[in-house]
Amino acid sequence: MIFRMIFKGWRFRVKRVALALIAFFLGASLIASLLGLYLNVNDKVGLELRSYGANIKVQPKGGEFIDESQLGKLKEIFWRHNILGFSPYLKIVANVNDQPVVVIGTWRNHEVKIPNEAGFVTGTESVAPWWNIQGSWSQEQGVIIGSDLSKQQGLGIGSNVLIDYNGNKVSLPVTGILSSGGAEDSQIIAPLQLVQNLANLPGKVTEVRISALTKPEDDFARKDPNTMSAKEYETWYCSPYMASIVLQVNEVIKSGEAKPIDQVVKAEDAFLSKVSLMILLVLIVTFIASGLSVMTTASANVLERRTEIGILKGLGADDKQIASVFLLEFILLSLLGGFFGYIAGIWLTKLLSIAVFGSPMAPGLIILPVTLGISAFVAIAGCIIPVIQAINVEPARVLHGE
Amino acid sequence: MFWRILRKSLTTRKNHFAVAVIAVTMGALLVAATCTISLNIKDKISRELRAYGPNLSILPITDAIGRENGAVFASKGYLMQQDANSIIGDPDILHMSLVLEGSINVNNQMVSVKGVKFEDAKQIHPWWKLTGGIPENNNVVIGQEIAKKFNLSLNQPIVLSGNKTTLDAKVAGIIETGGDEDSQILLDLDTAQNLLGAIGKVSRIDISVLSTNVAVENKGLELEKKVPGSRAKVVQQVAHAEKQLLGKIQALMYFVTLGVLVVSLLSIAGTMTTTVLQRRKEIGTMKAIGASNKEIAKLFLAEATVFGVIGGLLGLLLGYGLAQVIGITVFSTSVVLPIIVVPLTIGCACIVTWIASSKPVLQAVSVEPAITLRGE
Repeated sequence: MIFRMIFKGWRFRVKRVALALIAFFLGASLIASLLGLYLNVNDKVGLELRSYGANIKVQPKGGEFIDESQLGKLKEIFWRHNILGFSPYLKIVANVNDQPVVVIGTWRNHEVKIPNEAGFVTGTESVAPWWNIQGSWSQEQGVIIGSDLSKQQGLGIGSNVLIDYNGNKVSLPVTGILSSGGAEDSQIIAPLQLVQNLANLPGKVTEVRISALTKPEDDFARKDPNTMSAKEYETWYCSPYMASIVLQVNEVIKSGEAKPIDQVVKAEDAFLSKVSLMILLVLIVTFIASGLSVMTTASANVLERRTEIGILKGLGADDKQIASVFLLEFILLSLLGGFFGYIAGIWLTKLLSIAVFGSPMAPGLIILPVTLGISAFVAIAGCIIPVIQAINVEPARVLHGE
Repeated sequence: MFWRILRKSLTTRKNHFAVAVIAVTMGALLVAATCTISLNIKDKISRELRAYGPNLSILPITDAIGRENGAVFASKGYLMQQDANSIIGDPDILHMSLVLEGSINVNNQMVSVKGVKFEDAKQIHPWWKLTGGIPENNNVVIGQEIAKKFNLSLNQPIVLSGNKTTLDAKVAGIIETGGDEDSQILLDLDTAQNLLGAIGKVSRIDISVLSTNVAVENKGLELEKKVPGSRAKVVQQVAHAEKQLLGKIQALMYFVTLGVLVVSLLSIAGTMTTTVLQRRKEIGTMKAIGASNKEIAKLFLAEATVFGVIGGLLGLLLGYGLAQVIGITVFSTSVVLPIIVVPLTIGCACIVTWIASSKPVLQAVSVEPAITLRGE
């Protein structure tokens, strides 16, 4: 009976029903898309912040060197997919034109072999993406030279540089000029294997830098793992906190000791929490404002139907019945509008994410129930006041139009 | 007469008035708040990103070879401190720190020292972890590697011997930075100048440029000219990432604003249409007692203007207030109200209410009064 009343009513008031539906739809799409954005913003901005390069540094523990052969294991740890890149460095001081110069052996794009999986291509391109190289550095036998050193020694692309390390000499062509604004500007960067051969240190490196995607530190992350219960420890170990990733790196690189690079890590944590707080506040403001505005639409809709309420009363309907007809009608409308709003909102977030970050966002499953719940809540809040007002008035007066 | 009808129309139906004003206010609030935030976002974000440290350094032109592993290879050039002081107060410079580097002798070993003004240096490198305190009276802060190497802890004496002078100091603090400083000894700038025999000289200026209004590269070129014998070098790690990030966060906020703008304008339109739809009978009555279509349209547009202006103004005030709350909560600094937001908010509110109320009015005026009044 009640559904028949509602659906019949809709057929006669197509325009008004459509308007209410549109209001719910618009409100819900805004809430759903901002919610989607809020749930994903940490991941997306976190990934963008990785353009600051490495955030973990591994240095030799005890001895002087780290074994290069242990690096492949970085892609076997629990959080291997969060290891976005890494690069080993071997630093020696050699003579170039009778002047001591730091020569660094490293990778640009190097394929690391991983057991049972496809190789992983990584190197300074992912841990030092800001390196501005004029020319190129692709040759196995070439070097790139820091911009300051190139000016000072008069070396340009195409010239040969003679590197002398304790009597071992090698002459290499310069294929690129590097400007980074950092220490590299006065160094020579050469392929790792070549420097290892020159220094007679096969398979050895002096430092490894890792770029890892981490979850910002919260109160739980600051707990001392040694005092945790077994279950807490498991949760901690299985969360991509900086500390747990560092622990896992230490487990596989036995010859080294990993440490977070504070400059990058601290700024990143602060930045991420600020950006997500900002989106959260915008979400709350939008929720309140669009909730109120949908509520007013619902109110206007009920206000207009006071005569109808009067007739229902005149026909003998009691207050409860009248209220339930209106509430049910608006809850149905809000769920319908909310559902389509959810679909539109998710689609909007996806578009936004592709436009800004170049990859779509994962639609959180939580968004649908939250959007529908908010919609229904707003519908109830919006029609309850005018319905009560209308119920309390004498039918004769309402019908009279007062 | 017209004004009386308008006033009566607005005051007798209080519910209608409240619904319309609330709807317009909420829409305008969202427009004002999101526009204010997105027009302020570049400045806020670039301030936040200064936590990554300096993005520009000013070096002497002759200093071609840098530092490595704490040992200075060929630090030949200096800048004059008084020249460096000339750029203090530049509005685009958020923080700057004067640095003098050199080497001295500790226990017959060469150690690299760095003279800085500690207050400035801590501001520009917010991640520095200092155990102990900022040194006073010629005391020093030592890097953690140095502390290990010489087995030194807080308050122990340390003797630094320069070429001509010797300094008996105490370890006031131990510092951990993850950079060169870990294997350096840090002194107050004046003390370092005396010890190294470089009175009034500095070897580098670290600068945090606020890239809201100027590109870091261009600021570098400008500062180069102000400080004689200097060249500017952009710290690519910080500047490159910052440029990318700024653009993306800004784009993100613009998209959010656009979405909010479209949705809130549409929902104002929806509510206004609903409230006008219910007044077809009124229009019929007015026509029956002799009102011309023009007069009816004028009345409705005037009402819409009242809603637009009142709702727009309220929304602007509330929206700016909320943007301010967000700015202070998130970034701990206030936001400025960009002038463009004022006409934008009120204009949008008025235009939308006009459009929304004109369509049902147009429909209504074309209907026969008798039919409308009968309720068909």
